[in-house]
Amino acid sequence: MKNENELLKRAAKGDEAAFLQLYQRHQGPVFRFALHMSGQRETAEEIVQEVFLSLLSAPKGFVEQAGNLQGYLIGTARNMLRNRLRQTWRYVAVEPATVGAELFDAVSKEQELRELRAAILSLPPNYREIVALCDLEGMDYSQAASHLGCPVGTIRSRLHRARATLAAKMQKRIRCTA
Amino acid sequence: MNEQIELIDNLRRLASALPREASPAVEQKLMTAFRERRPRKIAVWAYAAAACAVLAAALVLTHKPARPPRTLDVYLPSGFVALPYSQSGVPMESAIVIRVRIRPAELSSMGVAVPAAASTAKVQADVLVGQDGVARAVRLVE
Repeated sequence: MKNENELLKRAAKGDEAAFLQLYQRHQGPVFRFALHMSGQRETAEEIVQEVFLSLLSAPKGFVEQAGNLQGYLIGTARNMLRNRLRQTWRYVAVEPATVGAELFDAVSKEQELRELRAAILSLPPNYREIVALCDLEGMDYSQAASHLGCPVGTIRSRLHRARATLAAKMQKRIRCTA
Repeated sequence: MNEQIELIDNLRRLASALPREASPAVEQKLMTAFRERRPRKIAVWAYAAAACAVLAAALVLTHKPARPPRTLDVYLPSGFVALPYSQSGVPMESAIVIRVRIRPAELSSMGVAVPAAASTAKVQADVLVGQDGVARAVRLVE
């Protein structure tokens, strides 16, 4: 990823191929992070678009010495998501809870995953983002710490608490549906 | 403990079940936005070029060519007669006057009007010498 700064400079000068290369390299992680945080594909895609547009309009916002470009882009997405969540915090999208006949289908794996997703989306944002990066994206503690700008110890403790909360939520749901 | 393991396993399965990338429509929109920004950049250059052209035109129109340095060949002090054979190509920007004693006949050959009654005795004359050391003009003192 050594040539990312070079690609960024070329993109800023109007090199379409360089911009496309940057987009294709980083859109996946940014999209998945936004999807895990918002729970909505549409919102996640809007965030991806906004993140790369902001990179286009202010390429000097990224300082190579301060970290890698992916971390910077995820950080930008995080700020944008926080602003959105702040504006629409009452309406954070959570998948519909198990209702009606679906109660009897709760043992199915698909249903379980749906519930797990709903449980993740109901976590506080600072827990949710760590679950998104570490458990869903497979980053290690140091990578997540670098992306979120906090100590590794904080990541570790928050992840532990987030998992415990998730496990409790899942247990509660299973008990409710049993 | 089993709950934790099961949870992590389910999280992994959830991650693989969710879409991995933004749809191609996002890429298209972004590339369109990228292309729309480029002409604006060109327009900035066009504005800059136009401004330079206007500035250059204004300079040309208001510019007065520098006058050539005044030469003492043209503006000789009163009484001096230019020496025809010594018109140096170098403009005379400064000069010194050297007073000499010279025969009237020699003065006459230089184009200086000498009274007919002048004797053969030497007379005083001023020679104008330019900054290049070349004598440019001469005048009769007496």
